[in-house]
Parts: sequence; structure tokens; C-alpha cells
Amino acid sequence: MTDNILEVRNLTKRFPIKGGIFGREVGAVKAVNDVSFSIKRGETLGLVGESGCGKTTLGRSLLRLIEPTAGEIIFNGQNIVDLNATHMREMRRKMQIIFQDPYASLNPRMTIGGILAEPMEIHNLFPGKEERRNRLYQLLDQVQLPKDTLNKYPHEFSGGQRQRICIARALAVEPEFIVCDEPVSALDVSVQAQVVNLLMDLQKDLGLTYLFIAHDLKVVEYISSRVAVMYLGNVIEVAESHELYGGARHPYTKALFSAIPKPNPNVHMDRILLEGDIPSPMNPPSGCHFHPRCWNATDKCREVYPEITNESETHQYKCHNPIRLN
Amino acid sequence: MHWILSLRANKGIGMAEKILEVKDLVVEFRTDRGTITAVNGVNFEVFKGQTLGIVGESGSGKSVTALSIMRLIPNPPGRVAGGEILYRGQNVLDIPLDEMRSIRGNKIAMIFQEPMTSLNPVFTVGNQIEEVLELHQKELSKQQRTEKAIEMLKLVGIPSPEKRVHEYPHQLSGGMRQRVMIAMSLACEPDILIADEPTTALDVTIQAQILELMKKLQTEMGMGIIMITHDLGVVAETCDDVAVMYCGQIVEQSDVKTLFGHPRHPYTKGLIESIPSFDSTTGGAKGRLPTIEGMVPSLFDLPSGCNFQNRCAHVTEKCRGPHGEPKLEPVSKGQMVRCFHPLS
Amino acid sequence: MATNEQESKSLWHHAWDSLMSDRTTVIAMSIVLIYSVVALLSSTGLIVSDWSKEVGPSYAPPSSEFLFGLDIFGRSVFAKTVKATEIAMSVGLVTGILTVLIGVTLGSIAGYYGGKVDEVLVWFYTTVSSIPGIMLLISIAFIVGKGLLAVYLSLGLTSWTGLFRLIRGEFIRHKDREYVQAATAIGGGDFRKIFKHILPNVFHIVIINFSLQFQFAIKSEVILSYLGLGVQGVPSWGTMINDAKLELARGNWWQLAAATAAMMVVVLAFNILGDSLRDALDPKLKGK
Repeated sequence: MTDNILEVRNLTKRFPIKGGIFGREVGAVKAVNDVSFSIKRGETLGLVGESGCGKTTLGRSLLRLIEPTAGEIIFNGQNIVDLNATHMREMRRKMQIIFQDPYASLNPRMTIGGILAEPMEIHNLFPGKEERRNRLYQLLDQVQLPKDTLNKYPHEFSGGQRQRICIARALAVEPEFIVCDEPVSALDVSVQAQVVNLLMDLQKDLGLTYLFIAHDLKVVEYISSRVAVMYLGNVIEVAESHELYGGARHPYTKALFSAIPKPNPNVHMDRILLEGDIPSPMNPPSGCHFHPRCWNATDKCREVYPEITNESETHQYKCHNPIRLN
Repeated sequence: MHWILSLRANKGIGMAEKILEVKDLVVEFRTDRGTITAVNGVNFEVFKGQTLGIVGESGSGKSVTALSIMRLIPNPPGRVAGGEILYRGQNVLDIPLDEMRSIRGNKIAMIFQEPMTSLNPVFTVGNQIEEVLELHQKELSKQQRTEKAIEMLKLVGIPSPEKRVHEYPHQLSGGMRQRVMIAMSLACEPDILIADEPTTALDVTIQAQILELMKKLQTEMGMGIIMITHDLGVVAETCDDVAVMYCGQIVEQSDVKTLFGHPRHPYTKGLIESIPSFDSTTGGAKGRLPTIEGMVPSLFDLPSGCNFQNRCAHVTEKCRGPHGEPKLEPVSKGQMVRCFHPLS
Repeated sequence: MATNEQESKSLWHHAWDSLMSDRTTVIAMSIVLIYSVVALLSSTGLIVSDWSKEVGPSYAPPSSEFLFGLDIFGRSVFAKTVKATEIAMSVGLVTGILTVLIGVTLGSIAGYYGGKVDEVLVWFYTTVSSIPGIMLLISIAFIVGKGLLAVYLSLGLTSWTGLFRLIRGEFIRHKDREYVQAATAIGGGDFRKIFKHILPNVFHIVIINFSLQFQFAIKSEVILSYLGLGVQGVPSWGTMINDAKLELARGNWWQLAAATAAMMVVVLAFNILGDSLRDALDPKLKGK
């Protein structure tokens, strides 16, 4: 029996568009459209996609930082979508998030000690003064920052260090699951690898489960055991990392991977170049949303939205005319 | 600086025309904490039809170098403290400002990272392309300018250019806006295009389109490109020659194949290795990524000796100051490294 | 690691350092301080308690004996000017406090909660700010009767609109910022997010606004007194300027000059201070 720490069923988030003199709803953006997936305890599910795909909205909806419009989020067997504020607060001990922008995610007026102690204050953890201080030192240790960090302010640190502080904050309440929302995208390349290593070490030491959202496919593929690809609010393919790279079935996935510039000048790029722009989520194309840019598109693709095909137990995709594998 | 010319002779590439030569460029910034040297003695050459990549992370000085070529360094607090920038043999740092203006956008053009903020939101894209023509090709009539603008939009692959020419930046997607920026920069058929992180803000499938477009236009129009980026993948794809910058200095300089195949500076090697590659084994069983320890030092607080000493796995006492800074020296044919112990 | 080995400074501390390093700002702050001290001493009767005493002939011009000359009742204009500082500073202070209390409370609620609450508050704000200020001042003065209370109320109940708009805007901007989302993610509630997180980050606006508001209040008091609605019985710069209407015709300029000068100096000081505060406190000007 697989132990799924998280099961997401038919999650939808729509943002209404108001218009007209009376501000009535004239349309909606389906940022997240009927998404279902599950994550096993201790694994890392990567989530990739380009602008407008909904991955950030999805990540934040899982923690109800954005309230879902419909669907279920089942964490440790319990549907958290309908929990009241008190119960949700308890749940927040187990589910945490790390944001992309290390400059915007720390309150510039608080000391690091204050920032790290706050979650413990809210949940009344490690109540003694001595206990709390030891816990703070322990957290700093886990993210490899020195003890004198506690008295300093965020503006005294670099991007990579601030991101470590954000990780420490997420760890303060001893969570089980962390949504990593583009945690390394805003960092310098040499620092990215350090933070990725840190996240991987912490996962091993503390038994954490991650949802790793990013647009850098190389990093996602490296850290994740499985990867889900999103396009315009839908998950269009999910597979284990190695399955996806070599054997992507959905044309968009293949195009996405082939678009990445490889750091090897000797490799001749037989690259698939997609035509046109990423459509706006306000006005998605009919049928399969990808058909206007798809070289494999058939008439059916223009009219009917594809159902899920199970390629294997770990590999699913939504496509009428998938890539043929040799 | 004849190493590139000799390299080309060796490779059988015809003597490409040299259009830009930067010699010992030094750029300083005055702040209330003191003066920092953002660019400290940089040398390179740009040839027609070739792309030079300048790679570096924050604080490396790559963007400041690009801005100095166009004399766009804000003064105060910055200033070019030394060196020459020779465009077709003439030092652009010495010429009067109105002569510089006639070069900007006309002979040397630049595209930036954020197309939304580089385009003026209150003018149509057509107007903005026409403005470049108005400034530098005064002999054209309004009608001719509009026609040329439409032609440029077509050249950069924008569909229905006759319609798009009347649209405003906010009506276009990020990829489209970057194409418009490219159209603006190429309207006067410049000799050199400076591209400062042109695809960093774009989605990866759009990035692929833009890089492909730039390569195609370079083949058609023959300009030299300076590609400034932190993404080694982009460098591998698009550049012929590469200069790696760290703390305001070039630490390694060679052609692209040699750089990736046989990096000699520990920083270059570290950067290349810290990129996760797709050839690794299945998830979970992957080891840690090789990293460069530590952080880029603050430009206010550079160590004496080699700037990279505190992060280098091969550091020795020699690197820490007694011999001063290492100099950029040739280490093999066509490859220069700034290191006391270049990797073998 | 941070390169400075000194003790960590908060952003407030940095701002203070930057204020203290500018000579003009230090002068402006000293002026404000001097006026405040004078007002305090005057209100407790430690100085110029005898301002109403007749010390010489009516309308005596400025001389070595009578620094600023005498008024129609032979009272020292200098003493009156100093005494009037009390009124000016207290009007500025009370108005400032009322403005902050009303503006910040309503602005933060409107900006943070949005929706219907915001709509109602914005409607209220729009209504109050579209009534011409003078009319509101006169109406309140009529209801409450002439005097200091009328000045306090009329100014306090009308000047909060500017701050409301600013605070509401800042709250709207900050509530979706990632550090606030992080506060939600760790389990924080509305109260904590408003007071512990967002408010300290928008407070610099309150300080700047307070400083600029102060001088606006002083000027408004002068106008009210000029209209005959101001304080009675105790001198204020406004009433002194009002009296000057008649005196100028007779060539007696010293009461007008003294009151105007006293007012100008402190208003100028507050303006300079407000600008310096804005430069020092605006986080946009702080490098990343």
C-alpha cells in the first residue's frame, strides 16, 4: 500500500474577470484546471511549466495561501480544503513553503532570530527560553549559517544566505511536506547548486517530502524522482525523471526539454522550435490547449480535450496523438 | 592581443574583420562606502559575424562592461577610469557626445534583459522602431520609415506585421517584445549588437526561438554580437569565443569548444560542473551536485592576491598575496587564464 | 558573511544615522526641538506667564527695550509670540495624533480586508475629502463654538484623508508580498500580519506624513484664526496676524512680522525634516 502523504483531486482555481459598468463577471481565468496527482511520503515531485501554466498558483493553493475554487487536497488522509482557521493553523505545522524571491520573503524590519522564532511562538513549540535558543541554533546549523546570524537583519545577507534563512524558517515547525516555489531561480548559478544540495541533504536527514516547482528543467529533473509538466492550467504529463527525459510522450514535453540550451558546444542541436507564443490563460484554445503549436495536431485535437492515458504505473499523459517511441 | 587572430588562422577561418577592440578597460564606481572597481583591466575583441560571450555572476562586471562600450555608465557615480574602446580603430571614449549618439543605435546597438521596461509603454512598437530611423536615417520620409518598421517586424518573425506595427508593448507577449527590441536594434544594420541577458526573462521555449532568430540574423546581416549571460547553456549554443569574468576581471578566455572541453581556471570548471546534466542516473540515487564553496566576495572587500582564493579547492600560499594578483596569460594556443596554478 | 563586524543595525538605526549626517536636517530637527521645549515651558508657566501684563505704551515700536515692540494694549509682542508657540505646537500635535489614529486605523482595515469593507471606507473617505475643507472647518466651529476645541476637531477630523489613502495603498501592496504570505504559511492570523508585519513596514509613511501634517496644521490654525474662528483669550500667531489687519494701516508692522517669522521658521523646519525623513526612510532607496 503506497503511503501518499498528499493526494490532490480535481483541484481547480479560477480567477473571475469583472467587466462592464456593474462589475459583473464576464469571464474567468482557469489558472489551475482540474488537476489531480499524488505524492508519496519522502519523494520529490517536480512541477515544471512556462508562464501562465499555473504551477505557482497550484503550489500556493496546496497550502491554501490561495483558496481553491473546487477540488480536494488530502493531506495525511484528511481533506484540508474545508478546515476552519484553527484546524488549518494546526495543519500549517506540517506543510510549509519556500518562496522564490529571497529578498521579498523576509520581513526587513525583523531580526533573523525574530523571524525564525515566530513560527515557534505561533504554535507554542519549544517554550522555554533555553529550549528555544537551542532550537534556533540547531536550525542555523541545519542550514549551515553561523550563530551570530540571529541578531542580524535580512539586508545584511546575500541572496543565497537569505534563502537558507527561509529554509530554516520552514523547518522551524518540523514539517513533513514543503512546497519549494522556484527556490533557486533568483540565485546565482554557483549558489544554486549549494542550495539544491542543502535541500537534498535535509530531505534525507529529516524525511521530508517536496513539491519542487521550477522553470529550470535541469535542476528539477536532478532533484525530483517524478516530474509533472503543466501547460495552461493542466497537468499534461507525469512520469519518473528518467522516463520523461528520454521517453516523453506529450509533444509539449518533448519540445520543452529540447529547448533547453545544453552546456556542450559539441552537441548539435536538433531542436524542436515551437511556433508562436504561449497563449494567454484567459483565452485558451479549444480542444487540446496545445494544438495551435503542436506539429502532431490532428482534427480531433482541435475539438476534443484529451483524456488521461496510462503509459505505465508511473507515467501518465493527456494526448490524442503522442510521440511514437522507437 | 593577437591570440584570437592566430586562433582563427589556425582554424582556417578567414581573417574576420575586427570591429571592436577593448583594451585595459577600467570602470570605477564611487559609493559612500568607498570606490569600487567594477571592471578591472578587461581586454577583448569582437569580429564581424562572430559572437563573443561574456559570462559571469552578480558582481562580475559583465553588464558594466557592456554599458561602457555604449558610454552609458551613469556619471556620477561611475566613470571609465582607464583603457580604450576602439570601434573600427577609433576610441569611442574620446569622441564628443553627439558623435557617440550617432553611433548608438546606429553602428552599435544594444538589447536588454527586460523588454517590458526597455520599451516605452506609451508609444506603439512601430513608433519606437521609426524613432531609431528618424535619428539615424534622416533622409527617409515618414512613409518610408513605417515601411521599414514593418519590414523589420517581418524580419524578426512577427506575424501580421502591418497590424502589429500599430500595437503597444503591453499588447504583446514577452517573446514578441524581445523581438521588437531586436528589430529596433537592427533597424540601422549595426556592426555590433550587444545583448545583455536577452533571454533570461523569457520562458525556455521562447528563449529557444529568440536565440535561433539571433543566429539567423547574424548569418544574414553579418554583425558581431556580444552575448552577456550567466547561462552556460546559452554560451555553448551561441558563442564562438568566451570570456569568463569574476569580480571585475577576466579569469579565462578562449574559444567555446576549448572552454567547455578543457577549462583551465577552477572557477570555470566549477561553474560547468555545478550545472545538473541530464545524463545522470535516476532520481534519488543521484549524488550531491559538485559546487563552488563560499560566495562571491564583496567588491569592497577583495582579498589580496587572487580574487578566487577563498573558494578555490587548489589554493596555495602563493595565491594569497605575496605575488600580487595572477595575470591573464596564454596557457595554450588561443586560451588565456588568470591563475597561478591553472588546471591541467 | 556580512562584511561589517560592528553591531547589527536595523533599518531604523540606519535611517537615524543618515539623518544625523546631514547638517541641514540636524538644524531643522533642532529648531523643532527648540519650539517644542519653548511650548512646553510656556504651557507650564515657567516662561512668559506674564505675557498679558502691560509693560509700556501702546504700539511702541521695536527697540532695545522691547525686542519685538508692543501691541495695542502695551503687551510685549515677543512674549505673545512665545506664548503662541503653545497653541501652534499643540494644534500640530493633536491634529497629527488624530490624523494618525483615524488614517492608519481606517486605511489599514480598508487595504488589508478589501472587498465590501474597503468599498464602504473608500466611499466615506471620498465623501469627506470632496467637501471643501474650509466649509467643514467653519461648520464644525459653529457646532462646537469658537476656540481651541473647534480647531482641534475640525482639523483632526478632516486631515486624515491623505494618510488614509497612502496607508490603504501600502497595505494593498504589502498584503500579497511574500513575507506576508510566509506569515500566513507559518500559521499567523490577521492581527499578527497587520500589526507585526505590515504596519512596521509602512510606518515610515506615517512618520513622514506626521511631519508634513504638523506644518499644515499650524498654517490652518492661522487661517482659522484669521477667519475669527480660532482660539480666544490666549495669543496665537493666527490671531496676531488677524489683529495686524488693522495695525498695518497705521504703519505698525511688528506684530505681523513677529508672528509670520515665528511661523515660517517652524514650517520651513518641518518641511525640510519631512523631506529628509522621506529620503532616509524610504525603503525603495535602500539597496538590495
